[in-house]
Amino acid sequence: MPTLDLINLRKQFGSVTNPVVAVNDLNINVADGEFLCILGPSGCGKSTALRMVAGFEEPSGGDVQIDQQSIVNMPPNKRPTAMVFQKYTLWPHMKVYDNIAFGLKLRHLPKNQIDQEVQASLELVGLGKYGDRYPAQLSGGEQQRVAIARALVLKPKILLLDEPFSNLDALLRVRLREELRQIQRNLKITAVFVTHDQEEALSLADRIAVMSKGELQQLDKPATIYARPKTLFVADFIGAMNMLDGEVSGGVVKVGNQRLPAPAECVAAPAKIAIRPEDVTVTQTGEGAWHGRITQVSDLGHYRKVFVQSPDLGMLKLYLPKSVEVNDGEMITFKPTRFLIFQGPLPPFEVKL
Amino acid sequence: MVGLALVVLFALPLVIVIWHGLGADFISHISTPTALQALRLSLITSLISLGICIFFGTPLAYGLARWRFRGQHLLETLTDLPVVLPPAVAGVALLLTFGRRGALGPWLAEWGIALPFTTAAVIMAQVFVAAPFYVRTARLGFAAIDRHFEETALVEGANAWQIFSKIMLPLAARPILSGIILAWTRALGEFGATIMFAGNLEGVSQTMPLAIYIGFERNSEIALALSIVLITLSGSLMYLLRVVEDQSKQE
Ligand SMILES: Nc1ncnc2c1ncn2[C@@H]1O[C@H](COP(=O)(O)OP(=O)(O)OP(=O)(O)O)[C@@H](O)[C@H]1O
Ligand SMILES: [Mg+2]
Repeated sequence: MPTLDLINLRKQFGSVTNPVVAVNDLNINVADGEFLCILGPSGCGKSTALRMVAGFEEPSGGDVQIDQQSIVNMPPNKRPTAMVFQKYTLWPHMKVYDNIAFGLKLRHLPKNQIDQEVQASLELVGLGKYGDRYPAQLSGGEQQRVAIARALVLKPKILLLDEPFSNLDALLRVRLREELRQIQRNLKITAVFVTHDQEEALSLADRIAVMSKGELQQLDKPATIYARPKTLFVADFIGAMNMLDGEVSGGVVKVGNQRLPAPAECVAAPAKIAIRPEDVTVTQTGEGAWHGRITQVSDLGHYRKVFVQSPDLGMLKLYLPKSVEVNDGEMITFKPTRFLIFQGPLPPFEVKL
Repeated sequence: MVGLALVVLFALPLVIVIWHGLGADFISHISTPTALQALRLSLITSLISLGICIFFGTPLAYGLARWRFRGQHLLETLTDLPVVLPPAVAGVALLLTFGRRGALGPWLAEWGIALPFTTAAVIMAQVFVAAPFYVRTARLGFAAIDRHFEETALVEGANAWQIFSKIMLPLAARPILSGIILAWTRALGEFGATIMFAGNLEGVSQTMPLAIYIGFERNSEIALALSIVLITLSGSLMYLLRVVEDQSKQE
């Protein structure tokens, strides 16, 4: 049942004469039981957006609604939200048990019910025997697990997480996020997860909201974000991308010395051509083939990353299957199989060859 | 090596005081009525002053640490000022305000209250000089607490009082304890403001430092004995402060 809507949400810091717009006209809808990631570079306003949902920041404009009811006038301690921060999450002067029981005690639940619920939530995060420890006696990963348990024990309508695993090492980060996702699926809880790590967002989210400079760039499923970035920013920010300067005229786009087909709707004007490193195929020399000298080959397990110095296009990055023979210093010829044409602020045209 | 010169300057007089004091008949001097009265008065007044500092100073420190408001720096400077002010200035200020002919004197007299030369005046003088130490230390302690600790309590449903009492106060416990020790030692040692505002009446306003000062002219043995008590008491408190600060560094 719980849904979350951010409607034309705006937050301005600073003075009237020198305003800092942290969040600008943000529209995000989170469906019941959905796991939504807010993704963007440092300083793009992710935390500010989340903090307005939790009630720590007052919006300068717009609305936040849970189940279609505005909550902006509700104090944070009355909102049906729970939050997990990146650090300083557990109160160091309380044992794990007391950390988790804190909210339940405030609600004057009977002692035996508190005991049961604390134990159940500790077991949910795999720390059934840790109730008697102090936070300082836990590892960073265990501390974040307890923080999640504490957030969940109150059965919030919306779970908010602000880079909860950013302080952990890579391996632990992957394990914890998968555990979190599993718990979230089982409980069918609506969650908003803020991260600057695109891999984290792509692997976790039902949908991703990509932000840049306070504005929403795109709100879509991970696969769509990757395959059909709506803006140049998203194309550049998500995954690896070859960004080339081109010029459209009469159904073709000129890139360096090459000519590629362009849809009739393209206007005759400069354009940015975006090609994913995997959207190329190695070919024979001939009509329409691109060429260049291989400057670097890295073996990445099931594929190879190859840097190619092209005489007219500069350095290109290609992902090639292992079946293709490539060697440092040799010439290579290839063709793009799929690319995007960006013109101005409009969504790009996709071309498949 | 050069630093040692300073240590000698500190330590030598202290050692000599203790040498002289203990060499004389310490027990009999410290159990004279004058000495016992001064000791008792000092302990009682300094503890009451301390209670007042904590009761009013804690909310003040909390407010100063958390809220941003206009004139904040002014208020902070104001509460810090008595730290560096000579106590004699405090004595003058207190007399001019609460003295018989002071600004509030006639008004207080109407209520039948005369503050100067009473035990209450001793306490006021002590609070005046000691409270800034407490407020400052506690304020810095509260300010050092990461806001996430508080915000988490807020989303968990705690109200302002619950956040203060269950989260912020325990988290600031060590700095508050440091503040208490500092304020207490300061109150115990208070002299200048007391003698000006509260006078030097045995059993009423003659605290240990006053008894030492006066006694030194008449009966230096009692003064020496009291000095040793004061050195021991303050010394133990300062040592306790070190322990507290060491422990908070380890965390
Ligand atoms: N209390 C504040 N006062 C003034 N400016 C602020 C405040 N909080 C945030 N900002 C500004 O708003 C912008 C967005 O900050 P925010 O913390 O939301 O970014 P973020 O996307 O969470 O970044 P990060 O990934 O580094 O956490 C930044 O430019 C920041 O400097
Ligand atoms: Mg942030």
